[in-house]
Amino acid sequence: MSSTKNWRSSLRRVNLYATHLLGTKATPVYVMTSIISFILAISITYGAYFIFYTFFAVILFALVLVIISTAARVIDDLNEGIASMILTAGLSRFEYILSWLISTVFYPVIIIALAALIPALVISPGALISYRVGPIGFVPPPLGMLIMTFSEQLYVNTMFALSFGIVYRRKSIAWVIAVMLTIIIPIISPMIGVAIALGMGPSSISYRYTNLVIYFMNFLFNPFYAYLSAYAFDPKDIVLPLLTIGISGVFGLIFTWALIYHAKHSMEA
Amino acid sequence: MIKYIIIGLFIPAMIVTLTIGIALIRPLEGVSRTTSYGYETIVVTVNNNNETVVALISRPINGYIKDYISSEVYKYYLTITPSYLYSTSIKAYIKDDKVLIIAVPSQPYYGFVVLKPSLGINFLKAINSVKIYESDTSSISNERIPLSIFSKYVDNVEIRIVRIITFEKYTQVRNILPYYAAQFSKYQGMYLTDIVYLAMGNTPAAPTAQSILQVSFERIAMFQTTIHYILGPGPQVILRDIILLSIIVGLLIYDYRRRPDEYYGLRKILRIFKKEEKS
Repeated sequence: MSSTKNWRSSLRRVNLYATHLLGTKATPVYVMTSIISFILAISITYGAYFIFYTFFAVILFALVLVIISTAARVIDDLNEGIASMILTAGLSRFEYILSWLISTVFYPVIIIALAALIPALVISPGALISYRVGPIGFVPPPLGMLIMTFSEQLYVNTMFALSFGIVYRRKSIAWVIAVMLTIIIPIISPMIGVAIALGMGPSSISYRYTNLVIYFMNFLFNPFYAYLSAYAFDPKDIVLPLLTIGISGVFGLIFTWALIYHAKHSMEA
Repeated sequence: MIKYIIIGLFIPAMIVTLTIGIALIRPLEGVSRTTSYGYETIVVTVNNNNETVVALISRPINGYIKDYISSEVYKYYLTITPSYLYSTSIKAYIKDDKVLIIAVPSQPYYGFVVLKPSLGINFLKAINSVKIYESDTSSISNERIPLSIFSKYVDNVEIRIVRIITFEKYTQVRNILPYYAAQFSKYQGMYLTDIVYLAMGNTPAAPTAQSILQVSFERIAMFQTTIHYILGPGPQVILRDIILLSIIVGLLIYDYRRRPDEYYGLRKILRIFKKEEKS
């Protein structure tokens, strides 16, 4: 009974602090999430989610940058001792770091996934699994897979960058990793893919395999890009998409654990 | 936190509800795709009544329509606009002009073909036996053909649009081909049927007769296809939207009762209503 009470009061404290953060330090994340939710909801309601599909790289990069720039302020709090000051107000170390994660990472990931899911579920649930929905003759991947991999990539990228930033207590490391994952690897992987394809000789089959190179360069941390290249390689294949969703999901959980563990330890010191 | 979750849910819910509301008042319509088609095959023959019959057959339209599968909200329609006849005076000599949509595994002829009557009759019979839609040419541009009627054919057989024109029995070449009649003065008084018979034969005049027919009918061989969409929500869509709104409103009431201070704007609106009630 007492442990239930503890959990409840713990949750209440996390809720309070996360709400406070969203209204103060994490406001840019909240604003950015609302803007992107709006764009996503409109494009999916009108069956024109190719708009999202075309600009996904820009949307993803903008989101990751805003999330990292906001969430990395926890590193400042740790370095400057503000975190210790807040901990004296009755918040545990775990609650403190969880509140930060909820307001800066979980909130945008969940709300953006919902902003895409809600119009699809209300207007045409078929879009989640079908290849043929929308007023324009365009055959995109199923929307359900796009939403799942997009949210997962957002989560894994931010968690990976933040966990390294917290381990080394440096914001710049978080920034470098975020830029590497969202910009450098997605740009370099097609270049390497094309280079290998050119090396294989001028046949149409070899160009198809550039998608496989892009897939294997992205499948650990960028499930969205990996899924798109797997879809371009073979739209009916399910092994490659499941592999990237599973492996990057496990990586995401590992980084979450590493982040909480290191943040707790760094507050002990 | 619930406040921020409600805002997050409210954005897509508002967009969906507004769209459904507008679509209920006036279904949103638009054009998805428009293409001009030429005909792949032109078949000229003579029927039992000694009338000239021209069948203009398009190339398959499967690739054009197969991506448009209607969902609960989006309904797709095809409209066909045949090209205008190059001279309005021809209309007086046309006995019958209709457009058919046919579904066939493959068709036996390509290009410009003049068929002997026996073969031609069988060919026209065959076309009529595989039709899935038929309409008069004068009215087809106003008709909306639901794409759902093609769904069982689109992946299996070729879907083609056919225009069949039957000319009056005593149509002369000069009646329908004034420019060509002037050019080929020798043929201008002849009946169209005779030109067709001439084109079927092996005489030295056959190539000229064929070219007259070919050039004249190629000029009408064009039509425009358009795929329209209508966004009209059905009862299931409205029900799902109501469920979604109920969840959001339920969450809002629950959280507002617990922490009314967090909802500054809502509180102010509610106060205005309460004041009005009192007064």
